[in-house]
Amino acid sequence: MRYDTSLLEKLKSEFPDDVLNMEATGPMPHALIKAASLKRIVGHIRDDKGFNMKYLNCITAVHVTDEHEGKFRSLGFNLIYNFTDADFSRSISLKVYIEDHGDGSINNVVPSIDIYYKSANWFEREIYDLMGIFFHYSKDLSRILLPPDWVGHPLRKDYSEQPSYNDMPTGRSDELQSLRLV
Amino acid sequence: MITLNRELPDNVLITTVDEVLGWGRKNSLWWLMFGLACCAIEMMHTAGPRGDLERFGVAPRPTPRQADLIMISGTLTYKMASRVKLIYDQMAEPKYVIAMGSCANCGGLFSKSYSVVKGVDQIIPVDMYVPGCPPRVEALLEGLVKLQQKVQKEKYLRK
Repeated sequence: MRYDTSLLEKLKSEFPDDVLNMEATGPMPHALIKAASLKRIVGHIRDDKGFNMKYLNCITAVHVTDEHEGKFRSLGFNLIYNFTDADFSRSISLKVYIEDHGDGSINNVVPSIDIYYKSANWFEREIYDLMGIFFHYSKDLSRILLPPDWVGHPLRKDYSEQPSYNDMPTGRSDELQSLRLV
Repeated sequence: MITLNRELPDNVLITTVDEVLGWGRKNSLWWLMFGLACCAIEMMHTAGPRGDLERFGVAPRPTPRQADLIMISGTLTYKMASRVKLIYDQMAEPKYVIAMGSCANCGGLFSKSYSVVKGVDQIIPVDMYVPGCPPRVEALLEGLVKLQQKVQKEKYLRK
């Protein structure tokens, strides 16, 4: 599963307007693309014989923040898509950046790719559950890991816990607090 | 005839019968096959050939309706908590709970996590806490033996 930079250059030559940037160095060379053209590019790399990316490895999200005195200010999210081709020899990685301006500006920006890859549904549900990004045109986007009536998205850097959930306290008093040195 | 109105006097006959009843009850605690996480593997080893659970009379039952003892082995999450409470409510009285492992005792390794119940005693009453991560087979058997001593001392006929 080699991350092939020639594939990135081929992608850039076929979609010159949509590929914004190309990071060819580092352990995972990726191409930064616009959110609006994600579906077109994904459809192309799945069906085109030059790419033949039949396997979706993973979709992850990274919360990009600006830290100031311990408080995190949310700037945006990086969504990273990893694909591998049908004989598991080459891989490609795509990155989408969505800006976070406040309430709901990250929702319904990135389209869901579950019409191309069925396994994308669970990855997107996990990202919605833990990061809060609502994917557009997804066939079923509900919480997958946490209980369905959970409030908040835990893996964000500015997440703070609720004091209790369904009458169960989320903390436990530490009886050994007075003995601890730290 | 001996009636179970629990107001019988404390004479030698009643205490002896109480002891016999306690002996019978402690040597036939049927356990519910309920495992959540890695402690369940140790629980399976305890039921295996080397740390034999059945020699104490604890027969494995798959349904809570027929079980007396539930060993909460593993990490309890908020999503699972309502189901564990449901299973505990389905057991018939008198029932006993062993909290096995540090995740069931107090949240354990995951006590700073957002999705873990910090100790199973926040939803069900626990009779015996067995520490360890996971507790050794001998440690779980020691916990079971101490629970048996607790069951033996219960006053069943007397007040």
